[in-house]
Amino acid sequence: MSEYARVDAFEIIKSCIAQSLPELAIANITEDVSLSSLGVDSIKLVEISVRIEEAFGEKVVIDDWIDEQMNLDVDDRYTIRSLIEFVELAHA
Amino acid sequence: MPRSDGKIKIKVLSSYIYEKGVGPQENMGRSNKWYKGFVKALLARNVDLNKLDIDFVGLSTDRSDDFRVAQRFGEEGAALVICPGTDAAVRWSKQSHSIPTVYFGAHPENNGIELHERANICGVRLNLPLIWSPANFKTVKELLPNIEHIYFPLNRESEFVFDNVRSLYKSFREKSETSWIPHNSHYIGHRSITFLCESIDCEYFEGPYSGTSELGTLLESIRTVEKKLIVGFNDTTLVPGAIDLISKYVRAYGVPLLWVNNFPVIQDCGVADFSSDFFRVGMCVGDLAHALLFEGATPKDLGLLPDPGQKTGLNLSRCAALNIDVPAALRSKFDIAV
Repeated sequence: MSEYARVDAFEIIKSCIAQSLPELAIANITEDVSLSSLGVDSIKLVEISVRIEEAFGEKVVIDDWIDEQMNLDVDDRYTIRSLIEFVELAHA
Repeated sequence: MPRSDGKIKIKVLSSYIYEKGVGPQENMGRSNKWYKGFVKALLARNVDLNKLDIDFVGLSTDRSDDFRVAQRFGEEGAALVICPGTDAAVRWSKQSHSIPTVYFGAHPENNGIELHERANICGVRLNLPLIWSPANFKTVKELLPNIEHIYFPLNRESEFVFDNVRSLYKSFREKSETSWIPHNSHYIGHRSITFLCESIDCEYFEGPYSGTSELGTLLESIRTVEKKLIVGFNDTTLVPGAIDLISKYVRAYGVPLLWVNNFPVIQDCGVADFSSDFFRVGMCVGDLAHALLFEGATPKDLGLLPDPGQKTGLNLSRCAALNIDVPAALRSKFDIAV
């Protein structure tokens, strides 16, 4: 069982994204959307990665998540849900 | 400080920004190790990154474009230019004497180190870990105990080959057909590597080339040489098709390949990589950028920082394919093993 409740992980991730994209309405960040659909480019992705790694500690290496996502179909990549699951698994 | 739209404009200017499909080197920046360190350093200093406008610009192979790039950066009000790679820094330094610049790059045998005297330039000097450290060279011998001949192809058209060395190579080519410069020749451009090779009972060969045709001729000339090793640097990634040529060659003839500062190439077709720790390099770049943009420092105040450390990588599947034995103690000397 993860030391983070799913809802907590989601809230922390939302906060990290919102800090990097302050113009984004936080209500638009749902589990179903992808980072790319939120307008996250490769530069912003690095910023969000650093924020998430600092929030969750060294067990979470976002580069590993990115590597996983690269193997998926383009339409299925970088969803918030998969990021939450990755964080939960890292802390399981 | 020049600003536009309320944001501080930072330009990242590099030859190592690739389009998709060029080969394993396209992944050099995918994980953005230095950039991640850069971002981490700025966030640690509570910099609001939304107030920075960071633009990555690839250097063209056509050097006549450099002037236009500098003109554009000036017109756009660039407050800082970051040059990953010595070649970008050298080219940029010929165009701008005023925009504050942070670079990270290597200077084998101190060639080109005078860059740090420029009033608008500071940075991080990289070591090229393989040829900086006798200990790393001994690790190579542990990994490949049977090698006797070590070949270093070098792109003689890149800024990485500085004028003094290029002059030697030109003289050598005028006197000989396309061939490797042997370790005992007075045309050798990087003498210290000769001594490193001698320290592990190997002979050093330097192969200056211009384009894939000449590189192919050099590689073909050593096809029948046994107990050989090829070592590459990122000047070779600047030649379109060169990595593909080397990859096919080492696969076809079962030749071990080492690289410096490029793990993706080693993941593709090589045995081991000896890189600087680019995450930590990026943190240094972030510290320098912060000092320049927010603390009132000048590049002259900051100078050159030393390389913060190395990160070595081993391709175990390639080792297995070449019947290279990697005992646990040897494997433990590498930071990454895939």
